[in-house]
Amino acid sequence: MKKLFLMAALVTAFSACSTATLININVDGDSFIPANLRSPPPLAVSAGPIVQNYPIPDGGLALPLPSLVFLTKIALKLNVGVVSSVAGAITGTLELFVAPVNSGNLYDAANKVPTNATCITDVIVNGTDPIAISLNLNANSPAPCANAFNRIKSGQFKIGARVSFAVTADTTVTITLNNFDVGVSGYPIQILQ
Amino acid sequence: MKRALTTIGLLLALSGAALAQDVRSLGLGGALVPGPAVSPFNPAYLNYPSDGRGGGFTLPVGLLNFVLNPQMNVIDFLSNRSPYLSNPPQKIFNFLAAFDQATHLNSFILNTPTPPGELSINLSASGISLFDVTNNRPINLDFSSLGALFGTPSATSGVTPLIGIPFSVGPVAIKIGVFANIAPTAPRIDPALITDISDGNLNGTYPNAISVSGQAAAGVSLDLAFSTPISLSTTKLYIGARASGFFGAGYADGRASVSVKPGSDSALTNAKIGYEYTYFISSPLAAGLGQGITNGLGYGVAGDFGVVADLPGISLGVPELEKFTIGFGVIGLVEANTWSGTEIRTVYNPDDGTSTSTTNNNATRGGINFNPLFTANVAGTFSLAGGFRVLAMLDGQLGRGGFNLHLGVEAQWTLFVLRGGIGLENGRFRFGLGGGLEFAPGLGLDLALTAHPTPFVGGTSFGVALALRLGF
Repeated sequence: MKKLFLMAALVTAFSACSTATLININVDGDSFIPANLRSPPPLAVSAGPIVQNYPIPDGGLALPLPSLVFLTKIALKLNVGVVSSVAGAITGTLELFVAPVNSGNLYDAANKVPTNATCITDVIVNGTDPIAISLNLNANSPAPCANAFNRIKSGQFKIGARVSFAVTADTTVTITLNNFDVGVSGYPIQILQ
Repeated sequence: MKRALTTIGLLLALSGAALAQDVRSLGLGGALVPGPAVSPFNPAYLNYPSDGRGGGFTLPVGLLNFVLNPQMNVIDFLSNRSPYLSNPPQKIFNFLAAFDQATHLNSFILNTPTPPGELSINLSASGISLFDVTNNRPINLDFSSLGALFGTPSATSGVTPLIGIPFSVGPVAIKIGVFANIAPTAPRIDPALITDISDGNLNGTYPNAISVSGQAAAGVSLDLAFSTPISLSTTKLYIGARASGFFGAGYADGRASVSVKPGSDSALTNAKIGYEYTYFISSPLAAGLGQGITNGLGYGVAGDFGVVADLPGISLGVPELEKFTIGFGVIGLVEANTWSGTEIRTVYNPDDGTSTSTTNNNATRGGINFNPLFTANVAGTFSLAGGFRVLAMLDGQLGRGGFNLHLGVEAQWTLFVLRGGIGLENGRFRFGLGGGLEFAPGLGLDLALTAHPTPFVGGTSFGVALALRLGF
């Protein structure tokens, strides 16, 4: 059923364009994650480091994208809200992981879209601010980011995010996945090349 | 090259459904010209002399666009792709224009549509929507445009012979035929489901998310028509009656529907999909199919009636009027048909995964219908000064759930013909504009302006249709 509509929509889209039409496929990724996993119950935590993966468990999220050999650009947007019951008690980072679909552990360090590369910056949060990542990947990105680009381009990938933070005092923490968008752009006619 | 031929073959196959409309009638906005072509609506016209115009072979002039328009050159695109794939592209192939033209091959489209430069496909768990970024507007997920690919033959009332052997005995025309009607409909998708998917708002259930139905009938038919001209002083009267009967060799119909019940999180991915299908089979040989089906029987009769009168203009006091024609016909005044056979209904319930099937060996289809179609038409032929001849027509049709009204005018001067018309068909206006050349009786060509809604992006595509009459 889902595939039928996807196919019909794609045929509609391609019938409505020319070889010079730039096609963007925007996937609302968080809608594919069940609501109870997007905003799990608040955690009572004691002082120390905490790591939370999205989605849970560590399987990652495989998105319904076709093989994207025509891809020229990928846009990723991620927004996670962290709310603590004690103001100013949190320092955190948000990391993105992209792995081949058959990967055993998505959150392996090798699958991390590196934070020290120029394509991404860590956002430090204090109190109730959301942490957001917005990045554009293409084939000319630095090598580790280009790997992520190529995995997404293959259409056979899993994607996930990790929030790690340190709390300086005992508190209750609520982590909510506010937004997760994946956008890919290209000229589908390039499939024929 | 082989691929190019396959493409052309496919395009020709697609055009089959589109070539039906007569170009003269198109130019007249659908107005009825008195003659044998009106006899399906009024049997008195069976023996009425034809004026020799109209009909002919409608040329698939739309094919020219695939050669003349550089953005629609299929052969170049398929045989030499690299200029289309280079960055920036040296050549562009316009799929939208090609789709529009391929589904309307009887018309050479003048304003081929321009597709957007950038298009977004937005996908979420509960929906899909399209957005034209260049023009900053949404594109409807109008699956009916795709339906044009499959064609949508409509179910016809009555029986149209596939092969008929006509012969006449004096005023009686007899036609013995073999008929085989197949009337599938394109799958219908619940518009509410499409809207909710585009909005990403799946709430409620969709019991008929997708539905499809079709029917087929075959048998032998016999048409007996009586039509004769009677001269009453200066008035010439034509009366006609037609009785059609058939004996059925087989009838089958079926319908199927798919239901969608989204999960509690309204995600399409967690939806429960159910289905049901019903089919009915009637044939003297049906028991051979097994499945608990028994033999059935089908037969039917129908009756049509009509009258046409030609009055000379002199008798009406209008010297310029050569002839005034008035006609009235009713078809399906009597219509009865019955098929008995077996109906099997199967329902799959997605909640418990069970499927139940019921068989009824005493099911019937048809009955006595009072579903007539009334047609009234008038036409005047005028001879004016300067060698102008003008034919003016007005007709109206009522019945079978519709109301149509047409007004058309055709003017001829030497070998040039100009025509136009306006029609109201089931509440929708249509206009016609056309012309032609009459080289000799039966030898000529007709042109008409065409218009249809442009698929996907909206607006109207205008074109020109051309028909050739060789008169032999």
